[in-house]
Amino acid sequence: MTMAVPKADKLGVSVTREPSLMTGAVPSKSWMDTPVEFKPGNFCYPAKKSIVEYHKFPNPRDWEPVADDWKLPANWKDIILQGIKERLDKFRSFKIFMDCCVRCGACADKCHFFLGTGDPKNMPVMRAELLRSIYRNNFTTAGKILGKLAGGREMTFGVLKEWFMYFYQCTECRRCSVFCPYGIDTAEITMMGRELLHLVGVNINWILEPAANSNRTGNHMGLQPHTIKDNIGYLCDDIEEITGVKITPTFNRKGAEILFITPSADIFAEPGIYTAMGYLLLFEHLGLDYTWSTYASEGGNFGLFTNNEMMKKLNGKMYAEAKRLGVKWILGGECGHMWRVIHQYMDTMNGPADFLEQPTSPITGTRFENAASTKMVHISEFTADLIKHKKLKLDPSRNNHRIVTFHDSCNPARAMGLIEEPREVIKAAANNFFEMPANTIREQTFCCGSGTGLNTDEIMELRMRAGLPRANAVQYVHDKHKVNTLACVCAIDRATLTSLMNYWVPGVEVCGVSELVGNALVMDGEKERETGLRFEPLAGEGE
Amino acid sequence: MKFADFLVEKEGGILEAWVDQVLGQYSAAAVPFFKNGKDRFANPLGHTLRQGLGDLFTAVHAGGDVQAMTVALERILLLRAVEELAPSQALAFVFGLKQAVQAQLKGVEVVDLVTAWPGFEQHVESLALLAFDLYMACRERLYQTRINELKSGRYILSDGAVCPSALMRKEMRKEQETAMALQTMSNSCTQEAR
Repeated sequence: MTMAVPKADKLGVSVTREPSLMTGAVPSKSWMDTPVEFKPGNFCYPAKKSIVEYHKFPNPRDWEPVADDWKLPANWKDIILQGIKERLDKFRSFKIFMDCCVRCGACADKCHFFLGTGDPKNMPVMRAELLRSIYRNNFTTAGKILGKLAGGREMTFGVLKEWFMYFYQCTECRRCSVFCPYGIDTAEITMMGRELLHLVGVNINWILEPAANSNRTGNHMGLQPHTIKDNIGYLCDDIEEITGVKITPTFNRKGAEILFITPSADIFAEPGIYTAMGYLLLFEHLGLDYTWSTYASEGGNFGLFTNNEMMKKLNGKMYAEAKRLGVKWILGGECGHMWRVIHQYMDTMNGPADFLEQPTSPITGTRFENAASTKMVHISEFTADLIKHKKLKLDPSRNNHRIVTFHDSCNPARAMGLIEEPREVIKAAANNFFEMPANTIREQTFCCGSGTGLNTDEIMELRMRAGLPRANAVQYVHDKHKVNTLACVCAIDRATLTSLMNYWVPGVEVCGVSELVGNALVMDGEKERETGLRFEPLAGEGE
Repeated sequence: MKFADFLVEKEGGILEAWVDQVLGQYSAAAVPFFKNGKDRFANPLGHTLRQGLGDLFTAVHAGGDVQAMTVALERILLLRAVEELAPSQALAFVFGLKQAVQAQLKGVEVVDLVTAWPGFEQHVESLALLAFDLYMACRERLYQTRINELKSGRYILSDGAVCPSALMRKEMRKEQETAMALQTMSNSCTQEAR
């Protein structure tokens, strides 16, 4: 990093001829000839050797992205090309996405990583081109004959480095695919890119270690059954202190009507625990016949960020546990990518779940037609239905200390179309709700900037840049309406948006939608509430 | 023309040159978008820079009110502080204002330039000092954000280093090793006693 010489007339010229500060890319050259440069802060730490061994993944070793030698297998190029071939044969979507882009550029300025870094290889079209160029060169007639003229290029170590950098600067949020006239799903291209990198042992620890934990103990954090039970017990103690209501949930109970599965962060990390307290209060309010599981104790699925086999394996625990316990259907908590896996992949990966019944609300009798196949209902759908049928006693004034806006979490919004339900819930549970600008919410929502396993602190600056578009929209409603609460339905969001707000918009707290419900619920036999679920004073109290 | 009038008349040109300097630090492929993207929510980076530099110019021109300069600077520096720039690179844009003004002075007769320039320069220098403070505040806010993330337990969302079952195994191994070491010591003491 060199010191700046404040000669403005030269400054503008020199910097455009020097490598990009972020990636080392030199703008004056063609993108194919601009190498990436790894340096602390622009990459995630590689997976530990022991973790790669645990997964029985190829090429476990200690290696450094900044090194010239990544200790790749001697035949790594063949492995990659063979990997592409297998995937082209196996996944029709991958083949189509490799073929059908016309480079119209509609996606170019829609990616939060591009908007925050200005790095052209973060334009979705370019990110895809990193892989598509290899596809053209080796798997199309034009590319085999014309090579670079047909947009093809050789698979080299430099290309592999580009893949590692840019497939880990994509959160698979799929905002770009909303704007693509062909519906190209760049997330699936990133997924293929990451799968291919795994074949030669190039991967990151922040994803593989939680995946190992999930495989071993059922959840990212490696929580064992007694820890899960104890933690939920502590949350119940807090609930009793705040509301005077004693809740005694059940675990692994056979014969329960409903199995409830949520991200493990909801029972272990702030601010997710307040969301979990909301679930506990809601179920108690209804007298719901449900059980928690210490086996299927994770809604999230870091397999989605790894490869399709891992995703299938980790997801398999949900149906396996539902079958073991003999429940009728599954209710799912507030999680982001969990719902992409459930909505788009679970049925074909691990279904059909013909041992379950089509979910029906025991309170309202509503049959959830949309969940007829997966047998799994989102907590916001479930709650919105209760509200619609006036089955909840809510006092929204208990959330008067909160001026709320709603962040549509990428996966629930774009992968399952969960748009209105959380809004209906918020409006019933809180009196002050303001939307962010239209092009930053609903299907066009901006990612938190840290999804798909990129919520690791060694890339904190990069995360803040990628989260700029989201933070910028929150800043707007914070300034205009004094918004102080950013509600969402995703565990990763609850963690990462909190950091994003701490940096960009201090004064805005992040909460789950169910936390607002928990605050507002009027429970039988409760005492007068003096605080909210995070022991914060209510409006008019302690001010 | 007096210098104060010149700043008013040439505000558009000065600002444009200043924005161009700062945007010039980004990849050439991104500059047209950052420069021309009009929607503040679709182009937050370009908008933040343009708006911030504009407000800053107005504040300097109006006499260098610290409060006004602070507000304008903060939005820009929050951005600059996470861009992997050396501190000098991150703050160079402040001095760029002088260059932008000088470029517009070419061919314009400003009668009080000699007497007015030192005052203007002083405002820019004050701006630079203020920018130092705010840049550091932004970096410290970032570090605090990292610390908060660690403290809240959010980091264990996916960091297996603190996996409770792994910790328990580690603890058990350590206890076993200690027990074995004690056993060995006790054996050797017994042998020596014999």
